[in-house]
Amino acid sequence: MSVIIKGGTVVNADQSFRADVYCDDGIIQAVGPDMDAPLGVDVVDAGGCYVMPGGIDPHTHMQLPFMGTVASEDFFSGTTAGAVGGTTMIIDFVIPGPQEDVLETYHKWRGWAEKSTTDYSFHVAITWWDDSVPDAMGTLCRDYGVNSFKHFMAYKGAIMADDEILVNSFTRARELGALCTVHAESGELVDHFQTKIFESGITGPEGHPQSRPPQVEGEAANRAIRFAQMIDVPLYVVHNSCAQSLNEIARARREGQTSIWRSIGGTSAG
Amino acid sequence: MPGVKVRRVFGEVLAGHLLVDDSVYRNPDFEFAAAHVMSPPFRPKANKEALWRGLQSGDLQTTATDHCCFCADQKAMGKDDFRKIPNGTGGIEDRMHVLWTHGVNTGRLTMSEFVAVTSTNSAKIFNIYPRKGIIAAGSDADLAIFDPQATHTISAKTHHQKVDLNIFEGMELTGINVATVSQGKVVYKDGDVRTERGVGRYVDRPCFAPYYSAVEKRSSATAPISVDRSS
Repeated sequence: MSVIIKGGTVVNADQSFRADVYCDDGIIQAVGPDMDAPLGVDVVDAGGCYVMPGGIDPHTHMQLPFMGTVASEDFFSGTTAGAVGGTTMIIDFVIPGPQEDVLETYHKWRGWAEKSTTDYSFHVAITWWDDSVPDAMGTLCRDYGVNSFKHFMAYKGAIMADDEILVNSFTRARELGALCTVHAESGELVDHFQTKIFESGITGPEGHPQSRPPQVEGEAANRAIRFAQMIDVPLYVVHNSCAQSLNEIARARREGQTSIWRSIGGTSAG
Repeated sequence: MPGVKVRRVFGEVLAGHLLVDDSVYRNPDFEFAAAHVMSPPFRPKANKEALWRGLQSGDLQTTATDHCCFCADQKAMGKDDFRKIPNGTGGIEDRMHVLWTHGVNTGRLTMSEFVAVTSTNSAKIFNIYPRKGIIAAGSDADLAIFDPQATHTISAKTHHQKVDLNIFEGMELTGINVATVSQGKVVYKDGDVRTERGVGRYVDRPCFAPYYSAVEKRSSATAPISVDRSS
């Protein structure tokens, strides 16, 4: 199966240029101007168009079992909707419940994802801790191509990673060369404000944002960043929604965690 | 990548948080307000511009959706208690489109910056670059082809997402994806969806991404010290 994209402008992260793109066997074989289309090749006319790397959505939850129900979009329909909008890869999340075996949960999610129409990968959430968890993290990194572990600092009493779990998991991730990611909202404070607001008589959806103000996100982002700094593990803060968390990231990148600058380019030395 | 430096703290922003604010929660219609319940919630307006600036400055490197869909009957589980409304909203179909219209068309982002924040930076941070995230010989043939003149209005009535409300409902787009190539095959073209169930592949992501080399050096320079008092 071959396809040639003709007449478009290729846009990469470093430059854009007029070029055709010849693909065969799932791989880009050649990028260059005015290529001849071999016989039998599917030709896509991209005149006047921009040809870009397919989007990667690094944060999705297809068919997630959550809060007593299951997300309505599954891996088939979700990756299809992504493809319509130009997204050709997702990184979804394996989320073990409290005490649920990490490797078994990983395999369960892998099974669900087999119906995907485009490429996918998984972050794995660390939601609880005993001696089996660091072993599972090692197996996931060594044998299953996982290099990022997610920590929900919110959702107390369910999947929240408390400070002890953060320290344990960040330390293990550091040994393994993995990236830590966090959902930064203080679960303690959210739980406190949810109860307070509900008991004050506010039961509708307006209670939701009022029980998790931007400050709870800023606090958790700062805590995770400081933990990561001291454990010296790279950190990725997911879904920053407000100036409070953004400011913590900006500060970290200009202060202690900014002492070393590196290109993240796969080939450049930085 | 020449010219782009990142450090060891990375930040992601969702398309929704860039474009939707917390007024949705004050809507008198429960279904509408509940449909927007996600965590973190949509924020007061001023935060949107701050997040755009974060993306422009490089403090935020990636865009995502947290695509997690629940329909009205599911959201109704929290009819009498907001704490029981399943958290989540959609957006995977719209992320690239809204970033183009509100990022590239407004001059906030160059086209190359758009590519960086929708694809390349994620590929680098999650260590699958240059297999993904670049158009170059040897990379996976995954492409998005945008027609900058094409227009579209977002609506739950026409979207492909399995959710009954679109958080970007009514948003007018200029510059949309007209064809998608996945694994070297055209899977979408001009409204014709040709995706195939089960052909997606699991992508291995190796540990010790390139930025870890900095971590290693930093750690050896800051190892704990002991004082010898034996003599």
